[in-house]
Amino acid sequence: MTHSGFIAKRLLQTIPLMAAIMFLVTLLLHVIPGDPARAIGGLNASEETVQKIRQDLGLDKSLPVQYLTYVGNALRGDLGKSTRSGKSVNSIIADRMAPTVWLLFCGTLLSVLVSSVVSAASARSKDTLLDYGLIGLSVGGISMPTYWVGLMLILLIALPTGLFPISGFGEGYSGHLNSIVLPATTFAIAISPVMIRALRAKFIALYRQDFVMMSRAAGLSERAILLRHLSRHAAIILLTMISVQVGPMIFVSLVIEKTYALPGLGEALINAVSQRDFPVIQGITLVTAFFVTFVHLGVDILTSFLNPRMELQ
Amino acid sequence: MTEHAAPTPLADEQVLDRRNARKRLPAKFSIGIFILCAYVLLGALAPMLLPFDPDQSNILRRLQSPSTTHWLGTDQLGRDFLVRLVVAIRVDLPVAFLAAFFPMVIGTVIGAVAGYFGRLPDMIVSRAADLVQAFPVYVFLLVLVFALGSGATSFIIAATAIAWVGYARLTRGEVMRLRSMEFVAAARVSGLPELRILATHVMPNALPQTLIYFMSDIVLMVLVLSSLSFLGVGIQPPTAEWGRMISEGQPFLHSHWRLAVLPGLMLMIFGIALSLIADGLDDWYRS
Repeated sequence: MTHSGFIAKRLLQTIPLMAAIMFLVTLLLHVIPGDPARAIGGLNASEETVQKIRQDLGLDKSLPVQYLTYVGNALRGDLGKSTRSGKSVNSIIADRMAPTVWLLFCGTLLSVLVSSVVSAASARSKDTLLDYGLIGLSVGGISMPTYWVGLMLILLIALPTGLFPISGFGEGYSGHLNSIVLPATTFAIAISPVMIRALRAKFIALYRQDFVMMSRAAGLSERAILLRHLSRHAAIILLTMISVQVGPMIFVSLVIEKTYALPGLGEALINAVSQRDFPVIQGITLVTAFFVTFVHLGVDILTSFLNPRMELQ
Repeated sequence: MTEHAAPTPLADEQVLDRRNARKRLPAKFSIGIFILCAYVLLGALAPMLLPFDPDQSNILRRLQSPSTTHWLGTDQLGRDFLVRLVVAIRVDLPVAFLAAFFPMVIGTVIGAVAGYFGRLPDMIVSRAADLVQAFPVYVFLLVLVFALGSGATSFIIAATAIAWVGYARLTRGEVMRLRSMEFVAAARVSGLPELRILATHVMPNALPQTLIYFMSDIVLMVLVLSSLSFLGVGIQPPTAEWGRMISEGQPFLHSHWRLAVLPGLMLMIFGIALSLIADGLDDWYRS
């Protein structure tokens, strides 16, 4: 299969997937036990209010009609209105986007840096004390609840030194950067252990390969072998790991936003959940699901360029 | 001159029984099991050991420092902190266990059928799995738990709806690999029914991997459960649950750090114990 054919096929595959995602998002309202409109309005709401909610959400129509209406509106870029504030879901998402993007970007960057360095060091010194120590640290990292790590960083770093804010997103770029340091570190502590595991195994397998021995015999320095020959393999694994981990990453960033009171999408979602604000919940779920789909797509296409041996199918 | 003793021949059962030569379970497995047993015992015996009601608040005794009566002091509502820390085992462990157990049973059956019979069942299962995996699964879990109404039952249902995929993928792969092996062909030639081959010949070989995955899945589930409770969607107050306790302790981080720190340590040690068990089993299985 040609490269452009592969990309076209991969793009086409996302269309039914996105349709199915929107169906699940529509279905969410119907998972609520009993009358969803009553559940959203609350027990004390009057019959008229409940009736109005039912109409606003289109619950008086059949499920296929609801689905098609939702898809039609979403395609025109309209995700509905918040049942609490009356603001459009689009504007809520736009307002809350920046901190989440900062956190995901800085957190992923830090995770990639940390896991590359640690796994290369760990694989080079396989079965030594350093290796065991690093593995032990990553097992500990996996077992710690993310929000708790965040609180520990506040307790052990932010409070004693006073260098970093413990909540909010700061003013201007330097303020943003300063308030993202601890959240991004928390993110890396949660995400790197899984990456380290995969990457260390890959490095160990790579160091056993003939071409590494050949390069050594040809007099290349260890540094050159690592940077020139192994880094490309490592990059593919890292990209795959980002693709696999993007779902957990979004959940982790949501929890971190709550811990550090970052006014991002995750925080907006949790507020919407506590206020039973369904259109906002649906909108944010949809946006995150699309984001995940695009990351999967993007990584697949990038890997096909990075790894010429990959079978395009 | 000393006489050399004639080498004693191996007893028949030593020669035949390869199990004797099999490696013993590694030490990390035993350490993990030991910690797990300690947790289970503590959780089971807690009401007998500690004379306090975990949910009985007493505002007059709030935020007391550790003393001989209250070994770890009291929380923001005057409840004995040690009791709540231990009683939470009775919530976190069983809920996380069930939230990993049901998906394991369902996912393994689905994956086995898909992997063994291929064709249409395989296609349906693979597409469904793709769909679930395309979602930011834990965000979906959060929303699903909210829609079903907060609480342990909703969490287990939502976790099952999502986590079966991992087990199905794992089992499908293993079964597909095993299906093409000679002993399956031999069983088929001797006329065994397909379902019996799958159940008694193929599955026992696929299960160890599933069990290892199950152990690490419990860690994940206990972390997700406590995260949801931290966010206010999981286990509801006044029930003692570690994530909830951490979130309630957050405002007192500056003055009473133990309220937020200790429940996290309980979670972390539990997670490490299960990781040790899973790792130990993995090493043992591969050796």
